Amino acid sequence: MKTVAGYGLIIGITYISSTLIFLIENMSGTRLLIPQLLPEDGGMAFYFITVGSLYGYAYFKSREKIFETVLLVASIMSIAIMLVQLLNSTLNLMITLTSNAWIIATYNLSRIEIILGLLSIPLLLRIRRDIYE
Amino acid sequence: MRGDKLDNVLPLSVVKEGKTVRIVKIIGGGGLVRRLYEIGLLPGVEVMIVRNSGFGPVIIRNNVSGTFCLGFGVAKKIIVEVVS
Amino acid sequence: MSCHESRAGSTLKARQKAIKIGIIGNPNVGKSVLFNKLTKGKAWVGNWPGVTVEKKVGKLTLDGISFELVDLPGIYGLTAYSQDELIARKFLLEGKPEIVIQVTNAINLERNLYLTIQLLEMGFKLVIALNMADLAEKEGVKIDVDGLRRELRTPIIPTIAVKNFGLNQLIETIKEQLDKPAPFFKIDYGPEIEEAIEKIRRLIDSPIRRLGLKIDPRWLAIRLLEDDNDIIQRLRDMGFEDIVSEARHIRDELQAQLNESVEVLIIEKRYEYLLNLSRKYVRRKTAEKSLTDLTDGLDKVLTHPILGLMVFASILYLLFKFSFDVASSLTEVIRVTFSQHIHDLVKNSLHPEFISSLFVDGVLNGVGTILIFIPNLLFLFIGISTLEDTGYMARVAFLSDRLMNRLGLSGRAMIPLLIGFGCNVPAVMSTRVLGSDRERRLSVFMIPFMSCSARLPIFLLLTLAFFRENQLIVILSMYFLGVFIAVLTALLFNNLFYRKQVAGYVMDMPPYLNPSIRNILAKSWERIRSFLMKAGTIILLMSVVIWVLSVTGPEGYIGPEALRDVELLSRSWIASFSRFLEPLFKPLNWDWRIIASLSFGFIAKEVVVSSLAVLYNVGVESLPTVLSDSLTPLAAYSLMTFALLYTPCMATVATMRNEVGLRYTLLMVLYQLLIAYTAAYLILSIGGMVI
Repeated sequence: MKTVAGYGLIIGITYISSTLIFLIENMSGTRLLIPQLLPEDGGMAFYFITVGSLYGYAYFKSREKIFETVLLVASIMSIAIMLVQLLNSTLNLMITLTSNAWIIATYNLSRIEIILGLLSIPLLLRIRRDIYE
Repeated sequence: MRGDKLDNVLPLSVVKEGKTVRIVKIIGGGGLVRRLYEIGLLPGVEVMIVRNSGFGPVIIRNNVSGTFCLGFGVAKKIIVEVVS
Repeated sequence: MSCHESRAGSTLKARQKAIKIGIIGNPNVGKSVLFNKLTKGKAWVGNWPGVTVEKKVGKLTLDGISFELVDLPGIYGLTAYSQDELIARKFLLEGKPEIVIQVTNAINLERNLYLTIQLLEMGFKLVIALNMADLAEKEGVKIDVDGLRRELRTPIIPTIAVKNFGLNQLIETIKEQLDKPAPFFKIDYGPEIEEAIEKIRRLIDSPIRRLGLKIDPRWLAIRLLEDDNDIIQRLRDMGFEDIVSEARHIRDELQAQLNESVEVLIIEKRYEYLLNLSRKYVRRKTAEKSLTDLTDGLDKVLTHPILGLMVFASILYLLFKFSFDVASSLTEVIRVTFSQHIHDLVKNSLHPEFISSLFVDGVLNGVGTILIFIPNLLFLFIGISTLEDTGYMARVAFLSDRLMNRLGLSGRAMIPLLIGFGCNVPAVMSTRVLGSDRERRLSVFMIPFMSCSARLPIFLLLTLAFFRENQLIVILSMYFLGVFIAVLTALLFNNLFYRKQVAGYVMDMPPYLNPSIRNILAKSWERIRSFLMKAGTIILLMSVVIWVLSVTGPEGYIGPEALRDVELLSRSWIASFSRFLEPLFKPLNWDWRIIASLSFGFIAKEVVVSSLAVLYNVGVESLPTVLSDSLTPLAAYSLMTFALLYTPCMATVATMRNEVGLRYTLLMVLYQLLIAYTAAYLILSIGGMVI
């Protein structure tokens, strides 16, 4: 269980640091990181903080029963925003089939919430197995 | 059994999560009490406190009634004794 | 079509009318799903309590017998405590269903049986659908169906409505029951109460028989002992004042004799009876990995005072992103296809000009408006349906309880308010589940400020024209402004009329379930369809009406040229009506064309955009460009504010009248116009000073 929690914590820390950099960039007006690795807007930044906090909370509760369900919620939320973004870029790609559409698509696919969402899938599968079987 | 003086009676709203309590009395009248009775929350019945944040609503459960959310105002009016 | 007569003929001879069947049950037991499956029909379904607010009727024809199914609101008992229970009971007493199907939740059968007992006492022919049989088994609940069936003398059919399991057997059973008499059912309430019941029964027995009423006199006697106000009122209306007072006398005597509330004793006896049933026929094992454990675990997170609220806000963000960002590319496709291809096609193929103009400028503009907003609405509905199906909505009520208490409301009132973001009409109707009149009125006052989906087109259009860079933020600011005004309204009215009372409530918490994609899509499609039916027809009709009012005027027929020539258009009916109102809106600096479209918006907000398109004589696609030439961004924002806050639509006003009465509705309409005007004016003047 410790490894599962640790894995989740790493994802969580990534979410939080991405948001922190986003906030620093916005406040200082400088550019520190490529935009794919940062939340798109304030709303998404809040979303990142929520998911990050959930992963962190799960880590600190890793000896208690609640740990599993916190991870379940965290990974579902991680995957949910990935799915929304994937759907978004697929629709965009289908509609604007121009020459630079592929570049935009690749850009979107390398976005941080897509990567972290993908990384959360094994977690969700593992937790589901623990809960249902 | 009803009307007995009990030392450890308290309103449902202050009982901690995870405890099981027995309903002693429901204060108030009319529609609300009737409604609680209809869903099986009557004196003598035991319920478990699933969720109680302290100043919001309380979630309770037993086999007969299932899971219910009681508003804070309602939870204050249900007098219980702690069983375990 | 042909093979039914021999089977049904003898038993159901000369049945001309449809056989009326009521579907009743506790909230959240799957009544609406069962109703939909049986009727392949319309009632919409959700995994939170109180979806069915009004009875819904559906038809079902089997072997040549036609049935009329009535889906009743979810209730726990037949005490007339909330509006829902009144509706259900009114149907049972006056609708005279031949058979009542009670849908029960197998997991907490006992609580459901309380309603069963009351229905049997009323003397109904009952068929019990033991729903969610699979979930109950998973939870370790085992029910001896045969034993229970024998004891209650009532057919009980295990069903899993979502999976179509047991539905055929249910229908067969209903047919078998048609010609059987209602079962004899009686609970022994103990010697003292029984004596009182008998006394009252003898009082009412002969008058009822004389009037030929099909009401069980024993049931009536019990209700009188329970001090049922609705029944007492009904008897008084029939002129049985003496019986009522006599019954009250008997009741007082009994109360004094027992030194205890008679109502309470009667309810306790019923529970005693059904707990005895439960001991005999229901076995519970603790399941190893139960749904209850999972639900409790999830609730620890999702109703956590900090994490829970964070998750709620994040989910709202995702919902909005899903329904606006993601849908926008689809909107683009429709916009392009519509303006480039179809428009030209119709324009070139129709003659004479009068007809072609009617179709292009009237009908097609209307259709275009409807189509362009379908993607947004579809995605919003899919999102909301998913949240409903998982059971999350009930947690929203839990989370918001503390907040809502500040406004004098309970957390439950949050659900109608959230529905208000979809459409105000069902939102106003769903306030019926709220306990007190005070709470219902307060939430009805708040709902119109919840920005419904019909207002979104106006915001989308104006933000597209003026705030292309910050579209999402500006639209969100509208939603927040609406909520803010709603909160102020609640505080104001609560202080003014009710002196800060606080509501008490009791709400069922459903377990978390995996949402079924089929159910979500079906429900979203149903909502889209009702939008198309309700709004679509109005939009289309209004587009044509506006077209007619634009090409004709006080001097007679002007001709379609009016739509292309502002000079000509200013001689139309539309222009003269709006000019008449112009002085009133002088402080807001509005063009008469804006006034005209907003007046049409009083009928339905959906038509504001399409009438603007007609009045500016452009397609909706190019409306942003035209508008950005004639308004400043600040004026546009003030216009959006007005559109957000003034009366939502005729349908909402009509529904409000039904729910809270004419006086409050008129008060509300005036209040909304006043607020909208003031807010729009303040934004214009304060904004003007700042910029």
